Amino acid sequence: MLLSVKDLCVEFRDKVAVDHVNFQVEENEIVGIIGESGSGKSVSALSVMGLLNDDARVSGSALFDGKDLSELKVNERQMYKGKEISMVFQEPMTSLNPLMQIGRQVEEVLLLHPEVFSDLTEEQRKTKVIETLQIVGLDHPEQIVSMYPHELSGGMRQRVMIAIALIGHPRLMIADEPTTALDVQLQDQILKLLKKLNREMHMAVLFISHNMSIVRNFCDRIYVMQNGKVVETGTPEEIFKNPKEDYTKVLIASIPDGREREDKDEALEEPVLEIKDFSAFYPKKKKHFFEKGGRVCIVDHVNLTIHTGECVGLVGRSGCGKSTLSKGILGLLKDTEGEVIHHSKHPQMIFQDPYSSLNPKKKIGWILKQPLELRTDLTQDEKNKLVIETVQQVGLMPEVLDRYPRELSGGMRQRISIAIALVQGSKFIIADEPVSALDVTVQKQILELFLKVQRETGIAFLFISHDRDVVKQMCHRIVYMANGKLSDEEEGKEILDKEAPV
Amino acid sequence: MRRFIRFWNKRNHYFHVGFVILAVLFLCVIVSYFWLPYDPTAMNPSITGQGPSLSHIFGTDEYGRDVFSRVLAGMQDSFTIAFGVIALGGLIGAVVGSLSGYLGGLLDEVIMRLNDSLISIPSILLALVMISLVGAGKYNVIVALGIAFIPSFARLVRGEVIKVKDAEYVRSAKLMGAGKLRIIFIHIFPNIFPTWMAGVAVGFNNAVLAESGLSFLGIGVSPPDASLGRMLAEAQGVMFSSPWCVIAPGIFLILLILGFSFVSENYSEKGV
Amino acid sequence: MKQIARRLIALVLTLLLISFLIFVIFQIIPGDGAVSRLGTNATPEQIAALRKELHLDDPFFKRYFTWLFGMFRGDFGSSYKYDMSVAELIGGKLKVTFFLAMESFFLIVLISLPVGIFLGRTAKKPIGAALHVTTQVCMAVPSFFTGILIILIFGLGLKLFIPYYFVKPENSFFGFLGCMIPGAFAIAIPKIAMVSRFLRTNVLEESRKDYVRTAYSKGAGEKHVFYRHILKNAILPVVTILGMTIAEIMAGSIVVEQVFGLPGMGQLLISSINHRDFPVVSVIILYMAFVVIVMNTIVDILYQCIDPRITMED
Repeated sequence: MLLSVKDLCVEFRDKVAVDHVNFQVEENEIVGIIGESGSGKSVSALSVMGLLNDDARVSGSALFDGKDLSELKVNERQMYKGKEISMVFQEPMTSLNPLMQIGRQVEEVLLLHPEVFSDLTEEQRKTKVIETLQIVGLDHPEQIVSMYPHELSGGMRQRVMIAIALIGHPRLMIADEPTTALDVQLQDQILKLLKKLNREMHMAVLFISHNMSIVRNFCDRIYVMQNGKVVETGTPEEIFKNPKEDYTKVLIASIPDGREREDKDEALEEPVLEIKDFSAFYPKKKKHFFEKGGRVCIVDHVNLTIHTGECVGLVGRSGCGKSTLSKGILGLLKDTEGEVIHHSKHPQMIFQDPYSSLNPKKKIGWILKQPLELRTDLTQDEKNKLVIETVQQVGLMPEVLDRYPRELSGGMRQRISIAIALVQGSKFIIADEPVSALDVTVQKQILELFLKVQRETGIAFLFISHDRDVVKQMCHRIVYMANGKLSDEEEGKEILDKEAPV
Repeated sequence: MRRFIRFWNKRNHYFHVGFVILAVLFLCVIVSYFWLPYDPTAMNPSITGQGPSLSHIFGTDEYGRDVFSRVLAGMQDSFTIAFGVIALGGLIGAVVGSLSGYLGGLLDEVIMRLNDSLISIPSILLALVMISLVGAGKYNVIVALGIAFIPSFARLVRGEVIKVKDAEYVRSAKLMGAGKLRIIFIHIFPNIFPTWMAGVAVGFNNAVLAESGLSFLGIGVSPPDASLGRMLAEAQGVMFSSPWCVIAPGIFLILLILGFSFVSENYSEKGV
Repeated sequence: MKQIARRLIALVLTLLLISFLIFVIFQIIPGDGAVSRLGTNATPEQIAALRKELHLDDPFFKRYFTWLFGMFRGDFGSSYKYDMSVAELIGGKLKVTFFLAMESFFLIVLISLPVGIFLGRTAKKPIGAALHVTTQVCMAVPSFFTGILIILIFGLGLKLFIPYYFVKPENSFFGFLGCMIPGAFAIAIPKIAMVSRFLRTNVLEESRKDYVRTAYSKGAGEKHVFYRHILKNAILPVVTILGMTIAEIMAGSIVVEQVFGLPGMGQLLISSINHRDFPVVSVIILYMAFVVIVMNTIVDILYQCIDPRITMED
């Protein structure tokens, strides 16, 4: 037994974050902890690492190789960190010191553990840093050592983080959502890397994630956490074939199954939106004061027609121009060419981040009534009635009208966004990654609401996502986007399946 | 009242202390409009330069005027001027900043270049320039400092507007067909109001400081008005023989500034 | 390099804009310079003659450029009040203001950094909290009152220096520097408080960032994390704030020169304003704006040189 956590409890002020949790990690094993936000999975990991803030009260024991970490003195525990147990964090963008060269950040681990590495000369340390960067799959490590974090992409930074966690030859690596902030294609590469390191370096991995399908293929054993407790444990097979707890069943059910939408050919022939030869540009950054500003083409001669009652999926990697296209469709861009013809009034947009899509200073009722303010054909009473009906239609109680956006959960806010579109009678909605910021169980509910609304009202959707499984389930047809160009199905899949450059 | 209690409970102790200081000083000013222990301008040669006593708690100055009454009257001027300066600079700055930030383009470029030039000159220097043209006096000081305060408010508001203007709720307001002015004042402004208020609190602090500095230099308020800064300047000649003439207005001036700076604590560090 | 070139172009443009504004404000708006110099009793012929001598009848832009290029040649015009050229009048006073400002700037840098670090490290302890409130009080005291208190306490009470004692730099340069130290402190104290509070806030903010957690996860101790990781990130923005204090030091010196009786440009500025001696006022204001803008540019460029994130982009 490499790590054995017993009766771990963590409290913040008056809130219990982790409640009598037990879990074990064997040598060379990959163990997954899965749960939604607030389940206490990250807090458990941080407490094993001894990285919680002072205001956290921790009790219980964490036996590492037979030694209780919680009883060690501060300086004794430091000898374990980075050397015996290391950690990779979720946000590669912020987890590296912005003012320190990559090489020095990796090398620092060696310098901090003189008890093991003091016999290395400076030269040997340099070589070891470069070797480690090579192991984690970074090309040209000699150049990377003298670079700063901002010069690297997200995927490269996460590899650097893994190099930092690897260079001390730890026996356990804790990976806290290491792929969540990355594109799908990069996720795969990082997971493969972790698996390889686990095999070749004999390093156990404690893998923390909210993503059921990743954990299923990646881990040897799984712990399911909910509200600070471990509710179920077992091998992936046991858990997926034969889940015992209701919560686990819900989690499994909410994985998009990649089934295609069944009511395929219902789409009508009446177009709501026609895009003809549409291109969009951003101004190029001027190099010096007198240079004439050039422009960069973000969306490149796109043609697309969407019909009433149709749901079209738009899939592409981040940076491929899909968000720019959606802004262009709504006329929010300055520099465009080509034509966008709307055959309906009030196209509406539903955004990825439900926290910034509603005006934080206004009550929900005010926000929902805004689109009606300009209409003169309704009395105040009729307007109020319409707002209440719409709120009920998206599955909320009328009481929410008296709340501020900050008092609502992410899922409720997305429901309000849908309600705004319904209130103003939109016939066409662009949904830009509308569920990717939500917990998996909530995701499922919101997707179902989308389907219900679409069937009831015949609204046309352009559904933008990087997750093909979600799109398949939602949409009648899918178009792919890469480098600003749209492509048909076959071609697009190839582009998407190609390895992302790192 | 209930809203006030909730507001009060959400603030930290700095705010509480600052609020109490300001409330007491403000009360003093209100009272002083109706009643003062002595006429602040009445000279009495028989009691010149007396130290603090029961009848004159802050003593008398070299002309035999009651220092306590003069401090209260001086605070009236300091309050009025600070209020006028903020009303002028804060409002115009907010309008300029939000239009410039929201509309962008060439207008923004021109306004901001001008603004950056002006902001690099200390506001007291800008005020000096204007006063040298129009002369000293209470109302000239208000106008001069008010104009000198416009650039910093404009920059503050512009920055916030730019932060908010690409927020998704602003985009959806645009999609609903709301006009530019409606978006600025109904959708955006409520969101930057707290920052603007913080700017106002810091601005009050700076306005009192700047006014006292100008008056100390003898180019702020002119007699018979007597702001706290002017009293300090006048008392500088006798500060060795009757230090209370310096200490009393000084302490009230510090309390006034400290009150505003405590109230605006947490914001002042954002470089407002 | 391009960034720097861009900053320098912006600097020139800003200086031109400022000089133009000052020219309009002081040469055009106040009206006829000949009348204000000769007084209202002068005959029309006298006025016309002087107008010609001062080139007041030239077209607007010609006057502006004559004025501007005159300054490049060291011709700053002549005072209305005194029968002297502005250059002569300002001459020695420039040194006083310049060294007063330099002294207070050094005090700010030398004292505020250690104080700010101490404040940041002790933020959760009573001593840190007490010092934090003290800095806030220091910021609330106007510099002229600080000056008065310094004279009263350290000059009159403790007799550490002689109030209103001034040594000319020609007589003893170090004596000259020494006699301005109390004044420099009066300017510096509120700014020291401000800068050290800013540094404290930065330290606290940086301590909460993700890279700090990474450093701890490598096995680093608290001191190592602070001095190797947090400090550099926290100090970097202080450079900008230090640049901004230069403007306020200039403003402070105008006031503090009055308090300590230092014969610098501040005193001259105030007396010139009182006498509506616009050629002198305009040159002094232009000089102060010039110093502030140039120093800000230098600080900006310096900042770009130390922050890898800026120099590498573009």
